[in-house]
Amino acid sequence: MIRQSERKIVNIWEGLKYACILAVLVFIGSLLLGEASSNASIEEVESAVTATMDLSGMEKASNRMMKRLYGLNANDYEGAVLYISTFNMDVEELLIVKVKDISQTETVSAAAESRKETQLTNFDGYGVEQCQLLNDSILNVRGNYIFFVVSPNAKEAEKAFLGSL
Amino acid sequence: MIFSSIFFLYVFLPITLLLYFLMPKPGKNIVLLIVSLIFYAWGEPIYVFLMLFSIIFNYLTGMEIEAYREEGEERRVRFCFWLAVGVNLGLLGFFKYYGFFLENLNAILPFDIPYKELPLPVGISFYTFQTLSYVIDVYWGKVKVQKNVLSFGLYVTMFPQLIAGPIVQYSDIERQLKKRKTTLTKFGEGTTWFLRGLGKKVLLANNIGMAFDAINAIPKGELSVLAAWVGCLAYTMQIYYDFGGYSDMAIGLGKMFGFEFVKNFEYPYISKSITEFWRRWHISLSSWFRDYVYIPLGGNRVSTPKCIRNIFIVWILTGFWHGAAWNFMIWGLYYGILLCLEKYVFKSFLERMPEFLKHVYTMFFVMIGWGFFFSTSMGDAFGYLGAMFGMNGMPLVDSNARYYLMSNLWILVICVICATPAAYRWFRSFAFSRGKYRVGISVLLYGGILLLSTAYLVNATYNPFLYFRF
Amino acid sequence: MENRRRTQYREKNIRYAERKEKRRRRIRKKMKKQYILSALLLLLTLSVVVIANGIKQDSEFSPTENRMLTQKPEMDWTTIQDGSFMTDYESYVSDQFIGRDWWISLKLSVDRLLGKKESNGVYLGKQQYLMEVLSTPDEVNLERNLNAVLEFQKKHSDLNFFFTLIPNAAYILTDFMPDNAPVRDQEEDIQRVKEKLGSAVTFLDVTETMRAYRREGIYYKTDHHWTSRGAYEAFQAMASGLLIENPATEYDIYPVTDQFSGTLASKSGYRKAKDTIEIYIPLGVTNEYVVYYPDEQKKTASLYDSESLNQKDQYEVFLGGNHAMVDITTTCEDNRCLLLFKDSYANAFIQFLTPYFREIIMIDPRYYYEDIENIISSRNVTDILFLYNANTFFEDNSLADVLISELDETVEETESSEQQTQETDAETETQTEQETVQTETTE
Repeated sequence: MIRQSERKIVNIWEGLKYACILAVLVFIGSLLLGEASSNASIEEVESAVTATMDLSGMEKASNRMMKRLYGLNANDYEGAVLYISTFNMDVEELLIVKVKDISQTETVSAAAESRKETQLTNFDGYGVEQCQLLNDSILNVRGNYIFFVVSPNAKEAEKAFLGSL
Repeated sequence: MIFSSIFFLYVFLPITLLLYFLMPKPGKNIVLLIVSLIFYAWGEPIYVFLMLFSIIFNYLTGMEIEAYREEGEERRVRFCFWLAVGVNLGLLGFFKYYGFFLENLNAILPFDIPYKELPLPVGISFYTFQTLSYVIDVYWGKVKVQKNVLSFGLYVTMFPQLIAGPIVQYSDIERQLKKRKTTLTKFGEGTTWFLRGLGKKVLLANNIGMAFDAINAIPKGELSVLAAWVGCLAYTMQIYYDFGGYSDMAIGLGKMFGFEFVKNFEYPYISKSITEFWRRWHISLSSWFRDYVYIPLGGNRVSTPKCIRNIFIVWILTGFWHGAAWNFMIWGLYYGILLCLEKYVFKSFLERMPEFLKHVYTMFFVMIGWGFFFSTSMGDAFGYLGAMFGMNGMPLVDSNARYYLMSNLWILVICVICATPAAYRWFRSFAFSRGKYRVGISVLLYGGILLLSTAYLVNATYNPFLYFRF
Repeated sequence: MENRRRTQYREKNIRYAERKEKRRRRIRKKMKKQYILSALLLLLTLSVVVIANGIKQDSEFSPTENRMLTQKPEMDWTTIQDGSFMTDYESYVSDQFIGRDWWISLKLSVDRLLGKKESNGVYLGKQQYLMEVLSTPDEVNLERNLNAVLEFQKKHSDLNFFFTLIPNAAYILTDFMPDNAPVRDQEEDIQRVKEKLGSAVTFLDVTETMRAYRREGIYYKTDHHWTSRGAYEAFQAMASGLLIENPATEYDIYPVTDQFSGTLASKSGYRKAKDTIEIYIPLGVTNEYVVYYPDEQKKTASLYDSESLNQKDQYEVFLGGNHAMVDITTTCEDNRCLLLFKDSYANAFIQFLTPYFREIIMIDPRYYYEDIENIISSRNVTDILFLYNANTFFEDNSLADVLISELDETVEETESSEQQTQETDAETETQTEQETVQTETTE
């Protein structure tokens, strides 16, 4: 009698154990696959993000500007928008890129990183607020979207970005 | 989170101590378990799930093994056991080595397999070895199964040894999980361990590490012989104080909460042979490999060829444990060869060498070993080692060498002295011999360490921790 | 007899053992005392610091470090998940730590005591000189920048082209460097630039001049810039090269502050020394001008911004710091218009140039994104000067973009390839540039 109930418990343990293994496999799978690509259009994401930001001191930059500042060719991507400060001594920027192919994400995020580095050296020792903004900048890669923002509202903008995907 | 940070010292630790000592006895383990999970999640908010999995899975395995054993179903026991070994090693292997494996596979294959590099979960090499030691010991019947999942969880996650060891074997700590004593004296003993470790890590390792980084950044073709040796010595000291200091802190924190961990370092640089060095360096790792790999393979009670095979298996694994890269493999192999030579070829010769030469011999090979260890690639390693012997055509001494030697001279001297038992022995005999204020002065010295470490940590933009990688 | 000796012996042994036991007990007692005192020490320190940190108000800005301090981060699920909350919180705790400045200075004193000669990329020289560690040229960008300059010169071959690189303190002030400190041979790097630029661009080499005056305070002790004195000596050496006849030799020199503590003091943390900033007013020449800052749409009649003297970075007294563009018009009768591509070294140099040009347009390529060709065509530019300090120039990656991006379709580039590697960046850049220019015109 006792034997049997014990046996039952062992079976439960075993079941739990396999559930654990299954869970960890799912966990690893989700890590490997990363975030699923988003179908949201770049315009939707752009309008969601810009709604959270004060754009009075910023303007939408041309593709040429994107090429110069980030070395990115807008036509290589499904969609890419860049906002920069109208005033040259401001560092506020917003870059949203939707890639055609996940393999492009690395190039884009590296470009954003190096843009940040360049700006940091440019303002190092001169612009205290600028350096602070740059240090607080957010770079987020979510599936097929790359998001880079330098702004006092960076956190809200990021939330809007994540919400819009 | 690492111990040598302002956040740990002045936020996490005070809160933890307060909670732990306010909590009545039955709850203490739960407090410790929860703060340990927070401690881990603080640095690895996602991978904490992996750790929770590891706890539950190995706990269940232990319970099952015992239940089946009571029923005499040895086949099921064996299956459970090997499944657990497979899963534990599989997880470790996957997170640590699959990027390396695919990278090398891609190099051979005509086509590329795309893969996503996952960051390594901190401490996975350490806690996997701990859970393995538990499962194996249960299987061997060396320990009783842990019926309390909280106690088992505490064994796996306990924050003092979570990230960088010492690798605590379950059998060593089994009883302490249930019953241990915390007294003010023991807490104080822990404090002295902790502060010594903090000083080693923050004041010595970080400082001398900067010298190594500067020298290692010089192109290998422009390193003079002396500069290369100064750099290598700096690294030799850095890795010892970094890892040794961290282990001391772990032991100290353990004592504060009433635990006794095994010693992890025993003045390795005073060894008189490579064999002795490995008895004094990272003791918990060497003993783990000894107990769970070397001896089960037959140890040295088998024929000489088999014994040599065992030695090589252990040392290649040891090398590989340190990181998924060829240079760690070579480093392990290097020690395998040295140990075999010491054991079978040069044994009597070494014994007849004058004491002084024994030290020189040991340190020489240990330092060359670090050359493999700190390089990021084999090419780098040979470049650096070449520079140490003037193979790059640079002179013996140049201004670089003089500059780095002179600007780090004091710290190097302190490092070398503290790497021998002499300094601590002197300190003890000073503190504990007759005289009124001696104990007070020694405590002030500990206070000084805390003060200076805080100053360095507040200022630290530079606080990398070497053993995170493993 | 025998017995007596034996008992004596035994007694001696017992006494010895007793003494040993006593000693052991004493040590154990002392050890216990040490442990308990250590425990109390730790607990006391922790509680004092925790309480002090709790009481202390968070501050926003650290004047000593010249940076904004991290504020308490807000906790939410996303920031916890990606770990940014934790890292932010850690830097918040250490940034707002009680007595932060005191701890930092304590650390620096210990470093000094241990014989450290460097702090955070700054050499701690003799006589309180601080000098920035020299940068290693970024070869890819250097090549790209210099090619762009040559290309630009070809396009505007009717203009006078001047180029100068000011060597840095760590290279020039050998007398004040820590002994044996490794220094890059900047002169060699500068010579390479000179050779590359060839004869079409007049290279004004001031290395010898700077070296000759190395004991005259030509660099600040606490800042990475040159002093007005340094700029003055360089100007004297460069004047004839710049085709300036009869440059003024007499100047009124006004010290505007003797409390200057510059960027290197901030960076290294060694802030004992103080520098004097001087301004130089030329005598015997007409020197009237209007300075226009297009970005701020602000006009002033002075090169000096006295308000800057009340702030941390007093070097900003020259032109109020860096601007993407500064336009200076003067009453000079000579009809020369100078387009100056520059870094912050030029800010202290400009005071020597105003008497000799009708207009000076300063462009800082790091911040300037507009079309440079417009300026050249609309302002009648006659001279172009590139003035950088060597350290900045060797790391710069913005000059080529300003010069080259507007190069028109006549520039011919080979191969169109989809792939962009770093090396071919410059080429593909102009390539795609052309494309975009074309598509834009067709639109």
